[in-house]
Amino acid sequence: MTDAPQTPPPPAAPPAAPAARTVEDIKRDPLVLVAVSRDWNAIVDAKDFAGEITLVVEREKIAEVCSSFKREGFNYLVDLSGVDYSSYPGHTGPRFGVAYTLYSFDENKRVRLRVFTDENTAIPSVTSVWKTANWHERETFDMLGIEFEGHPNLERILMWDGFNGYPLRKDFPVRGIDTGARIYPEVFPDGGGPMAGSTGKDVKDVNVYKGKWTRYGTWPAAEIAARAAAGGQPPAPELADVVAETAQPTVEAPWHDPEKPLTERMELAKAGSLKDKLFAAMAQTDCTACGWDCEGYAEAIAKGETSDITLCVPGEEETESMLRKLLAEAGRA
Amino acid sequence: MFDVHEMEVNFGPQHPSTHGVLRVILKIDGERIVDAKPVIGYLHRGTEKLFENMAYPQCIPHTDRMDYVASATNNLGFVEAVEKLMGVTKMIPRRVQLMRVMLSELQRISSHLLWLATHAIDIGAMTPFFYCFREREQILDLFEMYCGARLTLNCMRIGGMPDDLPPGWLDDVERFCAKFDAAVDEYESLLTNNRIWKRRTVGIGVISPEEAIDWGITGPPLRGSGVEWDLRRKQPYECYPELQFEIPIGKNGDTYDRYLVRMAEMRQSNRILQQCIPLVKATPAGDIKAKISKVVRPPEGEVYHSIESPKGELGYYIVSDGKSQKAYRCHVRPPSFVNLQALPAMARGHLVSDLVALIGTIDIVLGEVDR
Repeated sequence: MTDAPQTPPPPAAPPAAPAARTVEDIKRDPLVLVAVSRDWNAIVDAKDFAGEITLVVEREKIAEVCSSFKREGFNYLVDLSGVDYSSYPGHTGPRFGVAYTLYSFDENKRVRLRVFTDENTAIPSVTSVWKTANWHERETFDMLGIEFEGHPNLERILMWDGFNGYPLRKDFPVRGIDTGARIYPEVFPDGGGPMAGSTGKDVKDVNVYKGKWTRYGTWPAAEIAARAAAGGQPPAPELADVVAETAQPTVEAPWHDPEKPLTERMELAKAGSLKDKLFAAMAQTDCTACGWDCEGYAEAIAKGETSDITLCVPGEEETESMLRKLLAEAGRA
Repeated sequence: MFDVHEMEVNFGPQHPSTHGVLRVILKIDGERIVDAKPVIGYLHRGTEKLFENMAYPQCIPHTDRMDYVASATNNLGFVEAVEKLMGVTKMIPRRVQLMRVMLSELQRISSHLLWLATHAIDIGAMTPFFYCFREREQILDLFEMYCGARLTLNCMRIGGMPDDLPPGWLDDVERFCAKFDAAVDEYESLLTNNRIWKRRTVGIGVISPEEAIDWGITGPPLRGSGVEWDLRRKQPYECYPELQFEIPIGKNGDTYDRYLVRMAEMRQSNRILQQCIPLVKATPAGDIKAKISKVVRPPEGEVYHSIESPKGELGYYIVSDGKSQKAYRCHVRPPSFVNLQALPAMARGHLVSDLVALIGTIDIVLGEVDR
């Protein structure tokens, strides 16, 4: 940082008409003159619009210029936001602009500083100047992909970690992208889900899944087809059905039916192995409360992976006493 | 000796006292907070992206959805920013200015009432909730009389208002104002000298004026730290310069002072409302539109305009390319987002139960934090 002015500022100019001020005139505005004089050449452009002064600062100098402004009373960073100028009519030069809005309590006035940068060049962070810049810079990074050098914790803030893309860039579709997020995987295909940006003119266009309903629980195919033809979405999947579908027993198991009473199930498994008998003693709902499906839990007990026989929640006391009896018969008290 | 053992716990995002979907990752040593890290974004809806893809007047309903308990002030900030961009601020009729001021002051009271009700219930005082919602209901009825909506008002237009005041509205406001000061006395009689309330709020979350400015804190939290700064006075908009009101400030910058500031602000808003009623009656009925082009196509340029919302400085930064009826870029500077950033600094060293008081005292609305 240079404390001495690089170029001595010329004497203050007479107040000019606000509409026709040149860059040099704006830099000599009493509001910014002292702060600007420390880095006179770092200000490459200046604008006046609607009573607000905008100074364009060299990218490498922004932290120094900001500290100069802070020392001159601009101790409140109001706002920091990025703009993607890639589709701005007539814009040439680097793609992104970052605008810093500063406020001085003594002068009761605001000044805007701006730096330009491209996709690959980081901007010096101003978090060391104002603490509040931390989240503003994170948001600008999250939304536009502009990096800030020296930021203590530059990570996504509004979008989640691993989100692919920068939403406020002009080439990011307003309709949204395939995020890879799994929303009701049994309804939507991988990466699919309700889409933003539909026109709303057609009911089929609004958050309706248009693919096949293959992996959709145990709904009858005819009813699914009827609902899809009517343009509606079937109700949310029954999770228990999905689990039951994915966790079919690996062997022939006539006792795997929660409607059958315990005695009938034990009768069916009479000739089976210890595992089959334990399997038949379970509640057969595949609720996974024990951490397995019914067959898996039976197998774990039979193999001695677990000795806890109290885990079957829907089976209650009935299952537990039957398990104890079976283990005692097998000599595994 | 005791074993120092730090633990990480999740506070939220589905916790009733986080006022929405705020998640705080707490590092605690026993009951004491070592560090807190707010995780936000659960309510992100891409409002700024939407603004770039629709004409200016179409954006106004979307501003309602940011701070959804104070939508009138959101509308006000946006329409004023666009008016400033078009250079028509001085052409706004006086009746429109007064109506805007009245709606935003009613909104300030209703937002503060909701804050008080939930803040008190978080800390454990159940009764103020019922009292506050009694008056808030009357304000929502007034909104409903004016624009048909109770929360998402969409009650302002660029260059004017959607409709004139309905017959009898001013009388209803007058009746409300006459009773409201007594209602605030009632809330204060429950809390201000309540020993439990004071034990839970005095000295909790102290933030010095210098630190508050460094964190960019605005609104009642800044004034609670003793900085007399209110955009209605400092950079006045509409017809605030001619209205009499005071800016209440605190001394210690703790949760109790921020409570006192908001209580006093409700009384001042009531005072503003009472002054506005005769002034509106003196303006010609039906004078609710400025004589400006019906097609909103501002010149090329950029503006930052901010207003004093119930939560702090609400700013809109709009870039116009001068060729289209859509904003090239519209960035919102939400007060809740910036104020929330100071939560870890305020929470360090306090108990977990105080975090609930701190989230309440910052007065966040997650719709505005995440946009």
